[in-house]
Amino acid sequence: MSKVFDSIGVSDDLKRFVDHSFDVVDQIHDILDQQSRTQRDLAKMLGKKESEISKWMQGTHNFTIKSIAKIESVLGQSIITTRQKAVKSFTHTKLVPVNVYAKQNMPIIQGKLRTESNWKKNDGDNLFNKGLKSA
Amino acid sequence: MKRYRINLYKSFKKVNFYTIHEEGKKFSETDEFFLRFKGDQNHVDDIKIIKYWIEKIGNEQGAQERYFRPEKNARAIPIIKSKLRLYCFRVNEQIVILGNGGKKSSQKVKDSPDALPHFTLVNDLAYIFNMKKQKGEIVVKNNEIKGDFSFYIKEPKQL
Repeated sequence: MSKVFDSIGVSDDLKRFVDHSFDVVDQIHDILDQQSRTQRDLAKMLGKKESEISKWMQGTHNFTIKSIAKIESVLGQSIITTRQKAVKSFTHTKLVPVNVYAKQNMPIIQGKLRTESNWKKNDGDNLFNKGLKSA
Repeated sequence: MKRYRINLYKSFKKVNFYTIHEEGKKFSETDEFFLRFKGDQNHVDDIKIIKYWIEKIGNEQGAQERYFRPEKNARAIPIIKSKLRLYCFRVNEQIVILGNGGKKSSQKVKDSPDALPHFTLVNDLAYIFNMKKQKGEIVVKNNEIKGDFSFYIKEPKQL
């Protein structure tokens, strides 16, 4: 095991830079996968060479906001989101009624929980925990 | 003729990084690379990014093909907008053998005297490693290499 390697200190900002670059390329890769597309397709859509896109996708590329916006635009999906936007999106998530079955055709949770107010009114947490315990 | 040995360099959750060590030398090829450039003011950040990239690949990402820069049969750890190259041989998603590196000063590596010997060495290693694997002298299992870890390089090849 190398002591020379261990002796190299990396500043927080450089770690964040590499983390962000990997986050962006992994997100792009995921979207391409979802859309059954390849890096070659992305290169065509952006009017770039495939070799250039390949260099972008290696985890140390310094993406500009403009280039991220272009990629988002051709893929039709967001690549990055801020904490504020994420909070807004997820606090408006609707509760979905779920039945948990221990055995086929034997519902543990009998109550119907359709909305957040119903959840509170029907002591949903308790009911959920009870169901979880039984399961 | 130079004799080398493959040694484990750093072990992470997802990837084992090996290095090549020339017989009789104090440091491995990869340590020589880091020692040479870590004090170079033009490449201080590059070295730190390479180090963190290795840790990140090792602990989180895995050595997926798409993260590496193709360099004939070898690969390089990518530092965008820098001429510095650390050459390596990606065996699979869990094993990477790191070599040495240098500054690529031209479009083609054959015109870059600082990077060429390291590029050549790792490409030779890739060829020898695959030959040994075919002959059964080296066995790759998950994140481990087993078998004969030594190899010889007769003289620099013209690639």
